[in-house]
Order: sequence, then structure tokens, then C-alpha cells
Amino acid sequence: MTNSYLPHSVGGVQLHIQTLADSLRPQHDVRVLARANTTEDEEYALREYEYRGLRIHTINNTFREAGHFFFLYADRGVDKAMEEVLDDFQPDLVHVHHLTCLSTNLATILRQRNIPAVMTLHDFWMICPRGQRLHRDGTFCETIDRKRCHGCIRPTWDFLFPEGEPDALTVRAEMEMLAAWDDRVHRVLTGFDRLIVPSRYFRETFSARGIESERIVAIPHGLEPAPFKHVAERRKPASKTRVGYLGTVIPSKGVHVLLEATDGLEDWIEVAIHGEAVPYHEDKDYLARLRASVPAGVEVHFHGRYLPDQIAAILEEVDILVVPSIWPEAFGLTLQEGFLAGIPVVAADIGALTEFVPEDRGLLFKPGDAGDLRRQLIRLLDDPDLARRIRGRAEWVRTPGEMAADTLAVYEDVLGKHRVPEETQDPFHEAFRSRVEAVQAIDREALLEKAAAGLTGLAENLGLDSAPVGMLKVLGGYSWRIREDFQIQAGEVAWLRADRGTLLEERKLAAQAYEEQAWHLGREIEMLRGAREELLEERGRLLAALKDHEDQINTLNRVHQESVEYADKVSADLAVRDMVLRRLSRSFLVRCIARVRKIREFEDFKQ
Amino acid sequence: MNPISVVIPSLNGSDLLAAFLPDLLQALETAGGDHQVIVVDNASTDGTVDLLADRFPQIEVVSLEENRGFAAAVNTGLETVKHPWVLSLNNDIRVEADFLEPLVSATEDPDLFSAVPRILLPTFGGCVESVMEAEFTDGFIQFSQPGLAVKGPSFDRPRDVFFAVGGCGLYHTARLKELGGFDAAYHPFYWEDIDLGYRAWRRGWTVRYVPESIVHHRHRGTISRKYSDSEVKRAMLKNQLLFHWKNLHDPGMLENHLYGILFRLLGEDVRGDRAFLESLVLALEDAGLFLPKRAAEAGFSGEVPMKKQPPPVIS
Repeated sequence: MTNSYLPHSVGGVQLHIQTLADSLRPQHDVRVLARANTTEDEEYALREYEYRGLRIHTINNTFREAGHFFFLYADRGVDKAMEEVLDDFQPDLVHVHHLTCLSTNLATILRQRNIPAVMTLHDFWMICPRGQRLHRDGTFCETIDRKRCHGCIRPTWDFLFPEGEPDALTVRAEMEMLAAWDDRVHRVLTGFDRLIVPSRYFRETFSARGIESERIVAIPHGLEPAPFKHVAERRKPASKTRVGYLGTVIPSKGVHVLLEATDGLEDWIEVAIHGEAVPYHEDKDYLARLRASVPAGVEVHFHGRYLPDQIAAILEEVDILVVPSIWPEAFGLTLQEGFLAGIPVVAADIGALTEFVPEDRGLLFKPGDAGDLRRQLIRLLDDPDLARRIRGRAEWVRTPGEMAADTLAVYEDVLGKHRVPEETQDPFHEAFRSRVEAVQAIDREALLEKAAAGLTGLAENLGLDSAPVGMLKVLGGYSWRIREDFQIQAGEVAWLRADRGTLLEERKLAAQAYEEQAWHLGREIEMLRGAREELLEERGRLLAALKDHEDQINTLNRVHQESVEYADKVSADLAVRDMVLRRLSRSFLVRCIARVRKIREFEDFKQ
Repeated sequence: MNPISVVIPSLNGSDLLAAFLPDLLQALETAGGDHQVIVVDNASTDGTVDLLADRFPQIEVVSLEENRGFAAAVNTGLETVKHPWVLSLNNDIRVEADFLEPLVSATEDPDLFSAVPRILLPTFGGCVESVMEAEFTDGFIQFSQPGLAVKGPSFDRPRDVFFAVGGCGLYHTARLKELGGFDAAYHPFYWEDIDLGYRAWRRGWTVRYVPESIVHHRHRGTISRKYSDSEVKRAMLKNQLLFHWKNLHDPGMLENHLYGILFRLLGEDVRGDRAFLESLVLALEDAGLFLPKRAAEAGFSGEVPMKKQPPPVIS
């Protein structure tokens, strides 16, 4: 059982499960139960598919129904689905690889069914709900302090907590939730018959958390060496040394440390980052930050997601493999692939990486320390001999066969333990259990008769009329009729259902017709709206023109008025002038006459 | 502070006792007074008795020779209780340092039968477990926990509740003894604490919820690990029926109850579900243990706080 599976999800855990299943399958019937995460399906829906001959069941869990923190690790809906798969498959043994997004109630379910159970611990989820013991700022969480955890968890799953700043009581209640989580995890861990871990480092970590170390078995993952056989001979030299990273591109993997370390090495190396960038809890822009942080001049290729069968081919084009994790890896799958491909590796000195990279098998650097990583890269660039000496070898890596044999030994051990009879039963419980079993063994009619007799007595004792109890006799004696009625009704229901289908179909068609009509009406409305718009514009224009005209009329009126006034004035003037003229002409006439008179007088005189 | 006694029944819970007893002892010491802590061990096989002797010598231990269940264990502990108020406490409860004072303050009410703290459920979103309301519907008294519907701590006002959860309730020792302690006839578990609450209200005593007193119930499912779901369901249904047959005296409610049983049987039978029928037969088998207790419950008329009042008589 695991949280997600191939081919949708490719990670160390999924590849390990596939390898283990492939090695077990010739002799054993193996199935995988994983979580699906799609909003397109119903919550808790069970689905099945096949991947490379392996049958995979999935339970859809999107946390749509999740109400609080508790749902992150226990969910009745998931429990029910898991139980359905258990009922269907009836496994002899269950090997759990991850319970995140499933439900930790599984441990109890398996114990109740007395199914032997083994769990492999692939990360710190059982210690740190965020999985990798990294603080939100990306630094390693050295000592688990639940007071700090609260500050980490609340923002990670904010939708699971009451809104707003928590008051003191809420904080206390939530701290208690974390304590309950610890409590449950401890019970889950002790509930499995054996715990498998991929490294000694993990064994020490979990035994330090109070799990008996005898119950923890370290079995390093096995890897199929065949695909990597020819990587070394196929490798073509390149002008620059190719430094490669393979793995999911998330902050905990320390890809940013690698990029930072390449600063100044642009003349000698180029970098290839292989792997999909996925959101890491609430952090969704790691890749963008990486791209922005590439040092000037350094050639970095982001190749994105790869499939398991492409790994060997990818490694043909890698000269130095870097594993820059900042979280303590449980195993370090890529590191082992580097060994198989015969590549020198530089790994962070953290978690299981430390134990798999002793001095003669690679170089270690201080986790998170880009300067140290740069120094180790320069050592390798400077000293080709060193690179040759520490080059990986296939025999350092365990084969799937070896891993399967070790795992089977654990299975055998656990199965043997379960064959021993259970601890002695508790008589207090037994007393009730046997009573329940006894009534369950009685058939329905007899049980109804018993109930009727008992209820009649009871009714009398309680001072009630016992007549209504007679109803039960009818129920008991005529049960076949009721059932028949029920069947008829069921038939009717089925018929109505079918009818409902037709009706629904009709309604659908009608709905379509209405929809079409509505579409047309919509179009029409749109057109009318357009026309109205135009008309309004026209009206606007006309109104403006009208106003212009009015203005003009006003102006003309005014001009006219002025003209009239002017004309009046001119007429008045004219009249005055006429008068003057008349006066003048009269005086002129008078003067002329006078003159003529004078002339005449003068002529007269002359004569 | 007036000293109290604490009775903790325990069955194979040495890890829980080791984890939570120090908090309790510390809280008692802080509160001050000659408090008494009694652990009643239900014949555990996990070294509970040794653990208590080694690490908590100040605790009184009563060892039962065989597991007799929760109710009988508390009652046995009750025999050695020396203080007027006794706290019945499950082993999976962690108390807050200052939980005691508000609870003890509540005992100033002369009518108080029991007081229950604000029990938070850390495995259920930190919500409140101990606000208990009652309702009479379809012929049955049902209880509900409105606190479970609210995310996080809520219900911060003191109030009356239907009953004090047996897992962490402070009881008036003399009144508890007067009622005969937890009724162990509710075998194997459930409804003993409801029975006490109901009978207390009928006698005119009160049951109060004290929100200032806070404890955390780290529900471990001692029951669900041993008992299958179907056994738990039958135990609950059986004891619910027996509760009615022992305590219900109102003729209207009783008549309703009888019809309620018949309708429920009818409904479930047609669906092919036998759980209720089986529980009914189990309850009828035990009726002889409960019916004689009816007489002692008659003649009280105290009002039990109910969300809905029972309906009138049908006939």
C-alpha cells in the first residue's frame, strides 16, 4: 500500500515497490493499493488498472471532505475502501509503504483481521507531518519540538484549522492534537509486526524515537543493474564536464545548492537537471526561483520529468552525479543509480547518503553548503585520477533478488509469528461476545417470535397495552408477504427508475431545445442591444445637431434683431439726414434764390 | 482547596498512565490539599501494578482479580473514596495544570450532582466532547454532542448538560453512592453515565458543564481495539433500551417508546438489517435486571433538560 503509484507518480518509493513486486511475483500474488487524487471522480471511489502486469487498486482521496488535521492521517471513508480491497483480495500479508493520504487506522484494521503486516519507512512522515523534517524556510529540523511544529503545520494546511489568529486555548488544543498524532504514530509503528527501513541511519532514527530496534530491519533497496550495463561505454565525451541532477525538483532535494555551487565554474561545466518540479506543500514556485538563480554564464538545462526507463540513457550524458539533498534521505535512489552507471558521485553528507558513500565511493560535502560542494567539484575537475578512482561500481548496489530474499525472510518471520495462537481472551468481553454470537445464530423468524414474547411481557410490566406487539406476529408470520410486497415495490422502483431514465432523457432534450432557444434569444438581445446602441448614438448626434441648429437660429435671430435695430437706427439717421438735407436744401434754395435774386439785381443794375 | 478523590479505572493502559498521571499529580499538587488518587486495575497484564508501585507510590491501587469493566471498577474504587467529591477519570485523559479549581468551585451549588470539564478531543479537531444535550424523538431518548460540529474549542459558557461523561466527571460522592454508583448491569459498557445524569435530574439535582476547566481526551479506542463494530453497536442499542425500561415513567413517553421499538423493528426488518432486532432480544434477556429498579426511580419529578419536549399520549 502506498500514497500514489506509477505511471502517474514516479518517485523512489513507487520504483522500489515496482521492483519488489516484480521480484516477488513469479511465486506470489501481488497487488498494489494506492491513493488517487482526482476531483473528477467521487471521493473514496475505488478504481483498478494494470501497470506492467501488476494490478493496482486506487482510492480517491482529495481531502474534499477533510474537516480538520485528524483527516490527514485517519479517514473513515478511506478505511472503508481499504477494507473493501482487503475483503476482495484476502491477502496473507500486507506490506505498507506509505500511509499519507490514506489512513493510519489501517494498522488497527489489520490487527483486527489478524493479517500479518509489515511497513517500510521511506521518510519521516511518522515523525514530521510534513514528511522531511524541514522547516518552512528549508532548514533541517534537528530536534523535534512540537511547539515549533504548530507554527509549521497551521500554515501548511490552513484550511483544516479555524480561521484567524488562534487564541491561547485554540493553540493549546492544537498542541494536544499534535501530541495525539505522536501517540497515534507510536501506536501505528508498534502495531506493525516488523518495520523495514532502507538504511542503518533510519533504523537508528526510529529506535531513538522509542521503537524497539529488534523490530526494525534495515534492508537497502535493490536495483536492477541490467539497464546500466553499457552506460559507461556509450558515454561520449563532451567539451565541458556534464554535472547531472536526477530526482524530483523540490526544495528538500537541494537543487538550489547545486546551482549556487556552479557559480564561477561556467568555463568547465554545464548542468543538467532532470526531474519534474512539483509543489512542495504550500511552496509552488521553486522551479521559477531556480531558473532565476542560475549564476551568470552557467549553462543549465532543465529537462523536466523523466520515466524510469530513461534513466540509463540520461546517465550516459552525465559525467558527475550530484545528490545535493538537504533533508536526511532514507536511501538515495539516484546515488545508487549513479553507482550502477559507473559515474563519480558527489553527495551531501546527510542521512543515509553518508553511510552509502564511504571515502572510496564518492565525495561528500556539507549539506546546504554550496561553497563546499564547489570545492568538491573543483577537486574532481582538477584530478581526473580521483574521478576514476571513486567511479561507481555495480557491486556496491544490491540487486532486486537480494532485496526480495531479505524481504521474504521478514515476511516468513512475521507469518510464523501470526501462526502462534492469540493471547488468552478476556472473559468480560467473551461473555458479551458469546451472547451476541448466540443471537446472531438464531434465524429471523425465531428471533422475532422471541422479541414479540419478550415485548409483550415488557409492555405488561411497564403497564402498557401489549396489543400493538401483535404487529410483530404479523411481521413474523407474513414476512414472506411483506418481502414479496417489497420485491414488487423494488420492481416498481426499478421500472420507475427506467422511466426516470426516459424522462430524464426527454428533459435533457427539452433542456437542450430551451438552451438553443435561449442562445438565439441571447443573440437577438445582443443584436438589439447593438442596434439600440447605434440608435442612441444617432439620437445623440441628432440632438447635438439640433442644438447646433438652435444655436444658429438664436444667433441669426440675434443678428436679425441687431440688423432690425440697426436698420431702425439707420432709418432714424436717414430721417435726420433727410430733415437736415431738407433743411439744408431749403436754405440752399433760399440762398440760391437769394443769389439768383442778387445776380438778377446785379444784371439789372448793369443794364 | 477542598480535597477531592480521583478514581481511575485502567485496563492494560500502563503507557497511558505513565504518560498522563504526572500531569494529574502535578495539577493536584498545584491546587493544594490532601487529594486522593485511586487506580482500579482491571487485571491488566501489561505490568500496570508494578509501574504504579515503582513510579507513583503515592497512588492507591485497587487490583481486581479479573476484568470487570468500567462501571464495576469505578464502583470498587468508590468504596475507598474518602472525600465528598470524586472525579471519575479515564486513563486516556490528560488534564490541564489548572483544571481542578473551576470544577471544585462549581461544587458550591448545593444541588450539584456532577460537574464536567470542557473535554477537548485532540483526535477530532480539538472540539468539545462534553456538552451533552438530550432529545426525545421517535420513542427514544437520544443524546447529542453539539460541540462535535464545531471546529476547535467552543462552548465557553457554563451551562446545564444532560449528563457528565463518565470518562471525566466530578461527582458528589454521597449522591453517587445513593444512586448505587455506575450501574454495572449496563454490560459491557455505555449508557451508565447517561443513566446517572438522568436520575440526578429527576431527583432535582443538577449537572453542570464547566468550560474553564480543560482536559484533553486522547481517545485511544480501548473498546474498538477489542470489540468489533457490530458488538459495539449492539452494546449501545441494548443499553439504550434498558435505560428506557429502567428510567422512563411518563406514560406518554413509555407508550411512544413501545411504538418506537415496533416501528424501528418494522423498518429495519424490511431492509434486512438485524442489528436492532438482535439488540432488542439481548436487552429483553437483561430486562429482569432492570425492571426491579424501576420502583426506586418512580416518584421523582425533576425536569430533565431536553431540547424537545416529549409528545402527548397517542391513545
